[in-house]
Amino acid sequence: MTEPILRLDKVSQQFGGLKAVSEFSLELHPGELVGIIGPNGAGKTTIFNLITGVYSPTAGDILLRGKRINGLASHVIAAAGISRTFQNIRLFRSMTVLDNVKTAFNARVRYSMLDVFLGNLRYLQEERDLSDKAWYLLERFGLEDRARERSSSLPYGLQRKLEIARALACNPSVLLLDEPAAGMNPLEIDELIELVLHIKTEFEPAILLIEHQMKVVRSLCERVKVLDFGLTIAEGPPREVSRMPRVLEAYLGEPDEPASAAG
Amino acid sequence: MPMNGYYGFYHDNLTRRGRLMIQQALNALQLGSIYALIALGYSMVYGVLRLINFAHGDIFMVGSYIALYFAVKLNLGAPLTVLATMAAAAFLGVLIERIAYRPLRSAPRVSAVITALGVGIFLETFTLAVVGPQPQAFPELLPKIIYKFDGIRTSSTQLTIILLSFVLMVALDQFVQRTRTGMAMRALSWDLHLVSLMGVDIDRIVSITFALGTSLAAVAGIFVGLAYPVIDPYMGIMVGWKAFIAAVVGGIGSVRGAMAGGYILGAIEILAVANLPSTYRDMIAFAILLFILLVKPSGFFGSPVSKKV
Amino acid sequence: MNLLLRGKLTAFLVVIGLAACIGLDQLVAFKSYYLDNLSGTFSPQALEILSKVIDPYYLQILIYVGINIILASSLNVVNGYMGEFSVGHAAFMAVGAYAGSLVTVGLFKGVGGTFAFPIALLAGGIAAGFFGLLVAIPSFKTRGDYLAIVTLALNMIVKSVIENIPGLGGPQGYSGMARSTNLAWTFFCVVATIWCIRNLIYSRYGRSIIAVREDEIAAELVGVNTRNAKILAFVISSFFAGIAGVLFAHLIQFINPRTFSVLKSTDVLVMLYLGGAGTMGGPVLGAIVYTIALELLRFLGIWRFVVTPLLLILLMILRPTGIVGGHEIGPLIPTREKEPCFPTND
Repeated sequence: MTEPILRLDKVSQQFGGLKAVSEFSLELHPGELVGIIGPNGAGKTTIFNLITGVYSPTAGDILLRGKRINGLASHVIAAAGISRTFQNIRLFRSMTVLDNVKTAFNARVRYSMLDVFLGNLRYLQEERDLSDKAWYLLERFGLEDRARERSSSLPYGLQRKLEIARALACNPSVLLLDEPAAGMNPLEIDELIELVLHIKTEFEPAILLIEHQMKVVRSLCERVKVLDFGLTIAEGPPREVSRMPRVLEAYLGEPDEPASAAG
Repeated sequence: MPMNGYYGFYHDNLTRRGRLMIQQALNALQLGSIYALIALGYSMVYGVLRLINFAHGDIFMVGSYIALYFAVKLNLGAPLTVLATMAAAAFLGVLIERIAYRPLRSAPRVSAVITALGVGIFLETFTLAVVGPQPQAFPELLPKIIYKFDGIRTSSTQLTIILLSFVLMVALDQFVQRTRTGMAMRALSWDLHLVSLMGVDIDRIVSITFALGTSLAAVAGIFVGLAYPVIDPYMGIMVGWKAFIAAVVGGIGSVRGAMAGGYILGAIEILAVANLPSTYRDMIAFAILLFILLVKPSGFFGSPVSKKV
Repeated sequence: MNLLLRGKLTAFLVVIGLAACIGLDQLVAFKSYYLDNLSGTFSPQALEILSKVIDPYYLQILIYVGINIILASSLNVVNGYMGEFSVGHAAFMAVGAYAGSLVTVGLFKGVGGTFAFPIALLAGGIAAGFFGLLVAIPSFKTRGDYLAIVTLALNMIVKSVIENIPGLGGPQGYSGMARSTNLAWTFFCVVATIWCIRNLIYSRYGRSIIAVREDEIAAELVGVNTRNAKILAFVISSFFAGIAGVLFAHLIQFINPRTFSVLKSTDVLVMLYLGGAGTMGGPVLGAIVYTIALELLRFLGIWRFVVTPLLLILLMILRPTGIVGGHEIGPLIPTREKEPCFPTND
């Protein structure tokens, strides 16, 4: 098999006395789509926070293309090719839809401060290129009609889409999606599945997906990891995993989730 | 120099130092009491509304002018003057909250802060326009008796300030810790929305908070008038900022922190004045503030803030 | 094509404005020269007309408006666009004013004339910019109320430090500057400030700064170096405040530490929020309205200072987004930001 693009090697995170994640290992290969599932509070989002440098792991290593990235600043990790969406949407709310995407291009802009103050052609042209690129991306997501609106004025479903578009604007080789289907109706969920498949073919990132909706997980993920109280309790293709007794037990302890886990 | 002579000199020097220390401790307690009384208002309001009430220092100044009016024009006695001033200041505080801050409770926080700045400037300029810029003498409300004890000099005024402040602060602390209203105030500082869902009348609690804070500031205004017997319309600015520093030092939002912060700042300032040119006095206070903010931003008694992703 | 035309038109208007300012300055100079030397040569009617056109009082107010526009616009970078609450803008102004005056008085002995003044402007800006760098450091860890207090404390400390440096005149103040600030220089600085800040805001740097305001963590996670953004915002903001300080010092020809107290900072805050923070037009409008309103209310005597805070409170309650109400004034938005850009012409 090919070299993994992202490798987590026995990563642990401790908050005071609480072990949020313990010895989590994962290999993500280019073009792969892996799911992380588990009951609420199992430590899924913490893993995303560790990968993106919001927290620095208390033990273990995170490697991107074989290079250690734990301990680096978040923006460096983002520029290196990992970007993410958030469970509770975090757009730049009073910026326009277009500017949300343009901000994510920032790390790759070449004009300097002097160009800006002079207002010279290099600055003007590159700004125009950025707008074109952003516009292109928005068109792909069906957001071009609302490009000049404040992002907070978008309906919920479109905000989720915009967040994914913004994450893709960083040109990621690894894309982390944190519960993208949360709060969506069945129709929107079908659309989302289409969208993620489309992203996979067009932009070819490796995708790591946290999701509660088993429908999404089953139709997208080649394999899943199941977390409970920070521990990895199962791993494998979605259909097999959802029948494992340990997984059922973990979910049945959680009154909200049994239907989605069993079904 | 003979041996015992040397010792005698040394001994004498020690007691002189000791006396100086007691003298300075008294001065520090007096200044600290005043800072603490004002700092409480900053802290309590911040606790319930998350608003830095920049007008608070000017309420302190207005308080001393109100007291001047009651004492000189109406010729009320000392106890009545204090009580009437506290009531008037409480009324002023509640009024300001009703008119200027309440409409902005759901607005962006910056609007409320700007409004507070505006209210502060208004109180200053209004007082200035009414009474004029020249400092005015503050009457001795109590017969001033100077006590001298082994070279330590104190007065009935100083002792009254220290003791009365202490009594007021203990009373406030008991109020906040023991009563239902006090409990609601403390709960508000955790989560305003949650508390409103639990059927607490937030408007009432906020009004009470403002009334308490401003009346204590007015008492501080009287004390400043007594201790440094002139008052002017601009005195609220610097003293207000200092008290604010005290609140931050103690951990803004915490009642006990504000008291501790007031005494700490008072002590540091008295020490600074004793050992350095007086022009450095303000600089030191603000340097302390910067230091605390950079090293321990939540103050000595405040709860730390954590970021949530 | 349309774009090019607009650009040329704007440049043309700016040049006309600058020329008009230089003209007015020349007229004023001529008037005083006329009064001194030529009063017999021309008719008194001519003098009367001249006086009406260019009353130095109005000229002075215009210059104040300009300085205040620079101050409010520069504060806007930190308070409006980055969403922090700096309460110590006068400190940067003070650093600029003293640095600039040291250059003209100390270095050029007050005789450098037109040559010394631009150097002083630049020196004042750079000195203040460096000081802004210092303030940016606490902003890495501290936000909101606490950062506001840090800026406030720095304002007080700057004032105290200047008071304690005998070389700067201490509490007595510093003087000896020539009256180099005229309408032309002020106009030039105002245009340069607005030009630079506008270009900055509509660039990747500006988007970083705004992203810090919107959501710092999300900004980091899309690759924005938030530390750099904060440093940049503070340095740019203080640089232009420093320039305003130099202009101010060479207008009044006398500065003392009390001028740069927190009250001055509050003035600038009032102008910014009166106009509307977070837009280019807001601080410009706020500075104009506030400065002129203070002059118009002069007949109220001491009560005018009572009216202005009341107006501010009313404004915050009735229209918290300021006069412009969150909308940008059309001509201050670059054309490219208004039209759909895909698919564009050619």
